[in-house]
Formats: sequence, structure tokens, C-alpha cells
Amino acid sequence: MVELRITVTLKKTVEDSEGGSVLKALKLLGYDNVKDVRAGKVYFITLSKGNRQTGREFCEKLLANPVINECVVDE
Amino acid sequence: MNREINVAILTMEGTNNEEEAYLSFRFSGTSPEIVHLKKLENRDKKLSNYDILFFPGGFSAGDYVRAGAVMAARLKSSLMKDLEEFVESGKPVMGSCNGFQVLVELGLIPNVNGDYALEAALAPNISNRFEARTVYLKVDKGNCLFLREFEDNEIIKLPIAHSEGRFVPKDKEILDKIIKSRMNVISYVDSRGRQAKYPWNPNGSERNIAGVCNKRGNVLGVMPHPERVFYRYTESDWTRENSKTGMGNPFFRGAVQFLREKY
Repeated sequence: MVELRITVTLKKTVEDSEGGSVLKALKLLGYDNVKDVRAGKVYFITLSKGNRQTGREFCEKLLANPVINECVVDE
Repeated sequence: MNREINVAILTMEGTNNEEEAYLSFRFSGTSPEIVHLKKLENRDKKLSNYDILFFPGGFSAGDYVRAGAVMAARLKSSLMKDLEEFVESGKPVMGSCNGFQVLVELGLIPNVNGDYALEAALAPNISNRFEARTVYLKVDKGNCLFLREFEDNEIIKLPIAHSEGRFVPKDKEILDKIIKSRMNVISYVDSRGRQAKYPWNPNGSERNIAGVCNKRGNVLGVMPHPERVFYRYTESDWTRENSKTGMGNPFFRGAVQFLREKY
């Protein structure tokens, strides 16, 4: 079995409105030390066989739009 | 074209504007059919048997992953060649809202380089809200066949309902090509027709882009919903005027007249 963890976020050049909302909420809760929040999605994928390259194919074919997303695959 | 015009309205789990699209095409004098994606995938139906292809709004595959991503990935894996042939034959293709997101994920819009690569995305609204209301739009119709019934610079009102509608081009070169080729055919404006920021631009789209047509003029993606206002009665201010025709009506009439004249 191969377990992949694939993290998809917006590129830093793309404004992250969800991250911005979380940042604002944390500050309202009194956490003045929070400087930046980036939101994203994490997929935990179990394969019968495959490797990190398989995960990169998943990014390319479905999980990320390279125009706005970064996709990081960890095995 | 003297024979009946066959329209495929493509659906899958989660799309929810197929009925409005069906009725809009039906009352425009065509023979529409709601076609499930699986019917095309397993070859029960052939795309080439239709004259118009419409991608309705909604939340295909629950909008999981990204809006339109799952539907586009399935189409790409089994039907991309058919789609390319359909587009290259010059037949009209339109997507509204989720349909626009699918067209962008497929690379059919904007497709400025003609290679169906991903050149844009519809990112989450800057407001981080689901924006559902009527917006003002300016039409710069160019050669877009769906817009031929409008006047250039005409201001129209259409409903929107989306949380991922911020048009983001891949880079400045793509944006410049879109602008230079007048592919940004519909823009968000204020009530006097001027480009303005939120709330007039509901999602933070680059250059207030609300709709993009391909260079040839036969593929249109729009974030608003023309199919929801085919008749005046479903417009938000319908009691103010007596007109029966909704502002979404000309989109469908334009496509039908194009086919009647050309074929």
C-alpha cells in the first residue's frame, strides 16, 4: 500500500479570500500575532501501487488548476 | 437549416439549471434534450448528432475539488476529441455559471492559443461569499454568435449565483490577447455602464470579465444565468415594465438564428 498526502493551495500570487477571512476571524479572537493565513485542501489517498509521480498525475488531471493552484505531493 | 435544431444540455449529478436551459431552447424553436454525461461516455449518444451544446449551471459533482473540475476531468478523459471536433465545426457551445467553469477547466475558453491548454481559472470570489443577486453587465459582442441580437455596449441585467466566479487569466500575455481579440464580451459594470469594483464586480474578476467568447465566436462562457431570465417574469424587477422578453432571451435567439442562416 502507498499512502499519499496531496496538498492543494492557491498560489501566493492569487488572493486567498478564505485565508483572509480566517485571518480576520483569528484577529477578532484576540490573536494579534497572526500575520498571514493561507487556506487549502489536503487529500489523503491510499493506492494499491504507485508513487509520488502517480500523485503528480492526480494533481495534473483533477486536483489542481495550475493557473491558480500549487499542488504538493508527499508519500 | 430547415430541419429541427437538436440541442444537447449536458448534465451530471449536481447540475441544476438544465430545466431552465431546456425550456429556453424549446421556446426558441429548437428540440432540446437533457443528456447525462454517462450517455456520451458510454456512447449511447453521440455529440456529433447535436447542433448546439449547452453546459448548465449548478454544482456538478458537488463542486468538490474545484467548481467544474470533476465534470471537466471526465469529459477530458473520454470525450475531448469529440468536443474539439464539435467546436472546430463551428457549432455553438455555451456554458453558464458552472458551465463556464467547466468550459474553462476544459481549455475551451479562452483558448487564445488554439491548443485547448488551461489558460485561465475561475477562482473563489474575493468577498469569500456566495454572491446571488442581479448584476449590471455591458455587452461588447465582437463576433460572438450568441450576442448578435444585442447592441454593442448595451447594458443588461442578469442574475448571478456563484462562489467561484473570479476570472483569473494564466498571465498577462493571455489577458492581453483576450482584450486585443475582444474576447471579453461581457463585463460587470455599475448602473451607468462604468467598470467598477465590488459590489458591481461581484467576484473580483480581472478587468471585470463576466463572459468570454472564443476567437471564432462560437463558444461562450458566462458567469451569469441567461437561462433563468428567458421571460421577463423571472427578472427581479419584473413588475416595473410590461415587456415579456427577458434579458436572457437574445442569447438563445442569437444561436438559433445563426444556425438557421448558416446551415
